[in-house]
Amino acid sequence: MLLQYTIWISLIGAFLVAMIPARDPGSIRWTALFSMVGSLAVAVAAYARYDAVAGGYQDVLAMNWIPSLGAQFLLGADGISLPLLVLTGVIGLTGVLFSWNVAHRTKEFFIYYLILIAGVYGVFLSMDLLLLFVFLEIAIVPKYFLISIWGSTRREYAAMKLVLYSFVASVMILIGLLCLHAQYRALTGIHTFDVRFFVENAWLLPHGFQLWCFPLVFLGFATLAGLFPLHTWAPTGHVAAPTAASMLLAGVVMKMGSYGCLRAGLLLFPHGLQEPVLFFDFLVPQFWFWTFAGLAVFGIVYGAGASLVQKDFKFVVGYSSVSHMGFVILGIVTANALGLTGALLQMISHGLIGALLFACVGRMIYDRTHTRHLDALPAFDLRSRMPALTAIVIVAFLASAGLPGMSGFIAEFTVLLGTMKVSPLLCAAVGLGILVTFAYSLRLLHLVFWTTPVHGVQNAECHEPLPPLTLPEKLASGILIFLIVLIGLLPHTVTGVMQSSIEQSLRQMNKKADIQTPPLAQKPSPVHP
Amino acid sequence: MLSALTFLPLIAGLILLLLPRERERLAAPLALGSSLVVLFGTLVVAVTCHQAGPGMHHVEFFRWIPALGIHYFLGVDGLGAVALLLSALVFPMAIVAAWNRSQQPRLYFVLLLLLQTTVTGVFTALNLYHWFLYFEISLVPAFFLIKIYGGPHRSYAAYKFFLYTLLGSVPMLLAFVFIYTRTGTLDLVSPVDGVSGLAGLFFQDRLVGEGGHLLGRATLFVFLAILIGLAVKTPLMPFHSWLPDAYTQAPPFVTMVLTGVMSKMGVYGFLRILMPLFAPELAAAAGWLSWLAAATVFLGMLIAWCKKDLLEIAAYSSLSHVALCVLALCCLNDVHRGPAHFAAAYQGAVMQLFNHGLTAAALFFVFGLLIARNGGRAGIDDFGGLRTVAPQLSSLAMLVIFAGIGLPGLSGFVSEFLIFKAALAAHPGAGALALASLLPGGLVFLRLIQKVFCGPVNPACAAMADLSLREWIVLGPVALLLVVLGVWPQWILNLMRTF
Amino acid sequence: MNTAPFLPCLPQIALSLWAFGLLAADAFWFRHWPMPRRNRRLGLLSALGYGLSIFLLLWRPVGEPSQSFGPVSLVEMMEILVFAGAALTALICTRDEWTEHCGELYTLLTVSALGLSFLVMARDLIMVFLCLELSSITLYALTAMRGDRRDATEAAFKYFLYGSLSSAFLLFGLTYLYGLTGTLELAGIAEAFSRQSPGPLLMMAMLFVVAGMGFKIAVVPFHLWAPDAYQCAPLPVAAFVASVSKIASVFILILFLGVLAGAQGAFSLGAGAVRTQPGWVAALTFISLASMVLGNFAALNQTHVRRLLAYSGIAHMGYLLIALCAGTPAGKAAALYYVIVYAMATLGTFGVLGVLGTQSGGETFRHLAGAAHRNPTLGFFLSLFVLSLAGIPPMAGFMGKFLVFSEALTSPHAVGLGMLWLVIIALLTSAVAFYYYLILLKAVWISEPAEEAPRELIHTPWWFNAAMGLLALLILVLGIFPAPLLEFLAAGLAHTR
Repeated sequence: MLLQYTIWISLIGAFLVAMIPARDPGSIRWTALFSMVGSLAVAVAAYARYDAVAGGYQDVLAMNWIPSLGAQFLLGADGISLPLLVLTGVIGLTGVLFSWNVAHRTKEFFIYYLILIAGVYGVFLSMDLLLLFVFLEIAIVPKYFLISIWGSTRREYAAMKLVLYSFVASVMILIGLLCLHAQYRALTGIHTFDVRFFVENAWLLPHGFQLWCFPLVFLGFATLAGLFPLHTWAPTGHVAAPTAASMLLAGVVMKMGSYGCLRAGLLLFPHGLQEPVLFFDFLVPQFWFWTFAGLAVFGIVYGAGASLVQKDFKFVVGYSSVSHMGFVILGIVTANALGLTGALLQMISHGLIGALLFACVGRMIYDRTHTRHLDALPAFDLRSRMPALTAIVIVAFLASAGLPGMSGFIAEFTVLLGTMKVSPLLCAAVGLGILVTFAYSLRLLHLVFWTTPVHGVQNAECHEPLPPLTLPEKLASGILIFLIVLIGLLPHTVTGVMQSSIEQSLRQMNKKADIQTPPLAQKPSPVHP
Repeated sequence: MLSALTFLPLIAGLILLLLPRERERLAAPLALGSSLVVLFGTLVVAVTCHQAGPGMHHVEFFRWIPALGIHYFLGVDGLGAVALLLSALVFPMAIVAAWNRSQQPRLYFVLLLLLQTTVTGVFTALNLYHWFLYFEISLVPAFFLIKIYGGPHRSYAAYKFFLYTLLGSVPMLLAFVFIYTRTGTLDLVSPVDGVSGLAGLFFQDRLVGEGGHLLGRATLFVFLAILIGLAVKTPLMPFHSWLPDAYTQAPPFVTMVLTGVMSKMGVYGFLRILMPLFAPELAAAAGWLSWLAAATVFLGMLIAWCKKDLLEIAAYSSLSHVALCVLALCCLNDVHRGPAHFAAAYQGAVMQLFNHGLTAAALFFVFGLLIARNGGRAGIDDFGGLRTVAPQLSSLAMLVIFAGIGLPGLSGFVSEFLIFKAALAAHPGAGALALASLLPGGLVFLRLIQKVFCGPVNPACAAMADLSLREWIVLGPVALLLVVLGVWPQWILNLMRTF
Repeated sequence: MNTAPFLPCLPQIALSLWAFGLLAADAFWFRHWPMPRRNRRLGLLSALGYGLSIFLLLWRPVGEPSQSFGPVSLVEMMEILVFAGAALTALICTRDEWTEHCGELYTLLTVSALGLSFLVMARDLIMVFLCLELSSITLYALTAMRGDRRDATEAAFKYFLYGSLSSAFLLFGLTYLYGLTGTLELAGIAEAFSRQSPGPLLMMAMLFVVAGMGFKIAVVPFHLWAPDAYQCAPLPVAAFVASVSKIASVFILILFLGVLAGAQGAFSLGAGAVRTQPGWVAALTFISLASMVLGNFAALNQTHVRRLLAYSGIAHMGYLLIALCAGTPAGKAAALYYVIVYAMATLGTFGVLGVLGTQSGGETFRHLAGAAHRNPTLGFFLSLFVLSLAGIPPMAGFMGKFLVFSEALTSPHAVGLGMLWLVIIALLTSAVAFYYYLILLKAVWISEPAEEAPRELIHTPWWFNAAMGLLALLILVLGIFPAPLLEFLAAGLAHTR
């Protein structure tokens, strides 16, 4: 099992960093960099070795963990999680590069950073839901420290808000998980958290049970993914976080949420989305589908609209994350192959783009200008003084806006394809979101680069020389832009791996869907038609 | 071949980006070189296309995104060849026109080359996915060309241009998505055996019973969504308000490309997508659509008459002339009048596409020269008596203007004649309205000639320089082409014979 | 002389001798040593004594268990835990600033530990009561040990009043049990209940017993003494009360509930066949619910860390009771696991807190601001302990909570998903708990220390660090690999009556 080393390398990196004396930040950085390169190399190697045609989990590490609960130490990756693992590696690596100038408590910074990455790797690798949950929780605490020690704007408030949201989300997930476990124990007598078992036997679950357990788990994960209206942690958290942490938050931590929505939400409760609900004497068909799809679409439009009126550069990016993650949720709830492909593509795409955007504003601009306020930035005349930076920011925002030819477009396009199959009406609303997305991207570019500075804002600081882009910055931006364009032009590099896994998952999910409520269900659900 | 034509400007642009700052002067020759190569390649394509007869030629096919069944699918037929030729002609003109640009020349040419790539892409794409891709990306270089190099209100104009066009593109994108979900393909025609194209699918669909089963009740919405997208791009009257801002605020040498080529992307979309796929809907909509087009034609000219600014006059007249193409399209599906009528209208549309592209580009070029020589002043009262001051410039300018009016013997006449003929037969009311535009049109340009070129010499432009060699190189061939097209339109009609 | 009956008590006998030896040594030998050194020496010797008795415990030949004492394996484990916990407490004492009567302190602590170690061996009502009293009375005295502080005296008095009241309750309950069955032995009582229906009097008896035990583990509504005692007692004493004493008490509570399981179904609150739920389950459920909610919300706005830990301790015992409500054998194992890891984490927290608090002049958040930077090693351990208390994996606290909730969902006392509502409330309140634990971590790691606060590094001896490190390691290992301990506990409980 090759991929397990992604986790171990990150943890060993954290351990080594802890062993290096704090007065030697150079070695600490290089250690962090090497461990990230190592884990990325492992992920890429596994990606290359994966047999995309066969699909499914191919290289599984299975060990007993807690026999009395049936929990196993079960690691493996299929076509759905592999791209996300590579994404984690890429974001982790570029995050280290963009954190090259962290001087305050460098050692602790990289320890927390590497632990967080290990947790993320673990989430994407776990095939045992309890293990997945454990890794999900491991990722929470480093987030708190990363934000509240190295953060900016209202960092302690934001950090606390973020982790409390995460914790409440994980509480919801845990409840759902426990219920699922107990339900299967009652139905089959088997103690297990093996996600493969859950997927294969999902048809056994009583529909009534799915109807309340599905939204619980789904909402839990969707909170992490920033679904409206549970998104409010995201903008404040992203804004307060230091650059690398906001890159990670937007790049992969939110993806853990959406990954969970797919892996532990949608696939385990095939009827959760479809069942009607009695709502004030009115039978709403496909209640949870409409609820979540509606929220996702509203989130797309709302996030974009909120970005349109922000005064802080980073808040623009923060809200744009909410908007983009709406596409992911939307793609997932469509529950068809196109929608899921789109959702996964959007996860990857937004992972890269969001990370690039946060790197632009947090590291490349803020660290030079020490302001992110859109009224103050024009005074620095970035366009003529830092043309390379300007080009990078423009590319990043065009990518974020979903310009065709970049990864964002193909991802959102595919999500639209999936959604159109289900409801053209939703697509129309999404179209509005796309428009607003372009609007705020252009507005931001205009405000930062083309506005004549307001007279009062100008001060001597604006005319101090701006340090040129450093090599790590150029390198990391280059990596991210290259991948964004690569995926935009050749999405097959990503979709090729995930296609058969998605199809298999959907097949299993829909298996025996026509069978009525199994005889083992204790009582007929009051909402079953 | 077509891929090479598409990506050559892009590669040239990337090379320009790598140029060191002190070698920036090399930007223009390099850009020109690449565009001339493209022109040559396009001529080869056009000739081979012409020799090969009807159908798609130079087809390139490759399974691009297997997960979605999206193919990279290129090809040209007569229509494509004409459009391609137009863009290949206009871009070298635009590049030579901006030869001595002093402000950030490198970026300017990079953007121009990127624009050429996207335009070429649009004119060769036979899969709606990358057709749309180029269609959208083209906004970006255009946006920055306006935004960075434009006039005093350039920001406003650039945003309006971008967002307005996007407003049309989004419904179009949704329509494409919908078509895909119902048919599983975005190929316009069948690329290889066993893979069905949309044209074939829709055609078969119409044959069965009452037709329209493929898209069901949504057919109308899909049609309208695509129509809106194209109508904004072209533009048609209620969706035109971005145009005056963009055309007047962009530097005139960029407007050459905007009106000469980019507005043709909309017309091309009508011909390439809407007409083959939605013929019955188009026929049903022809009634009101023709009124819309005729209104654009007439009102555009009327507004141009009221304007005093050279660029505004050119912009509104351009609006009017492009709308003629759409008017022609409304006559295409008049099934009662037989194929000859169809052919006349179609030829009129395509020819107008080509003529107007060339004429408008030349017009903006001339106006750009005039304005530049007059220190940026663009009002028609700021000029006067140029005929005596700069005789060569004046004569060529007047030739271009006459071609724009549609004087017999010059290119505009043939296409406008074909279009009015078809329109009057198919939609007499709308046709008459469009025909009436000739009156303000004549007035506009005659007044222009009178005020600018004749009359007493305005002291402000008493020392105006005449055409330089470089400007001759641009204008000379164009003027020649305008005359040739006027007296011998058959070659281009032959070229587009294939539909 | 036949020594066999004394063999099981050999470690305790040795320990009591050692304790009195210590007292004598302090009185005659160490008396004139300078203070920190005297205290440290005594503490280390005391810890050595516990180590010795653990060694004896493992070494002694296992004889025939007498009537009053159960079979050894699990009980032995419990004794070891008590001794080890007491040894750690002694080590914590060595870092404490207060050192006036150190000889007495260590001796009294040992006596209390002796009481607890006897308690886990006790299978006889009288023995149970005596052991509880032995440990409680010494703890009252220990709480009041700082005679120079009025609040300590007040807290001790409060502790004493509540304690004696609950002892009375317990005694009352025990007499009922005796009256109902005519025997004092737990096994005999269980057998009697399984033979005949005990009637409503058992309910009375159990309520009184639960009240008595509830005082020891500090659950609502018997918790009022805890915050004051935790805050005002000497820190090691508070640590002892919060950890070691709870392990033993929970263990004996589990045994009592095991006796009741025999009488299960004899009476119920529900009417039909569907919702049969023994009355004591309802009572425990109520106590658990109240403890979780009240404990966590009261902890929310504490600024003194020990008061915070007191309230959170109440809440933790509430979580633990959920597993006992579930009534399954695995539930009991889960509860035992929970209390063990809770005690470890608490002991560790108190240990680090003792060091940081003494050096920072107090144990409020304000005093402790940025304190972890003065000793990053201990600060790191503190983080692990606190995260374990908060229930964050991979720390053992998470596993404890998870096991408890998992058992509650399969409880035979409720239909379908069991006590789902209770689990939901528990998890929601645990989010509250997460908040205040995070505040604590924020204080020690992130907050800026006050201007006048000392900032120099705190030096701690290697053995102290090692002890804390061992605790932290155990918490990590037990969290990642809970299976061996769980299986041991489950097997042990199955054989313990």
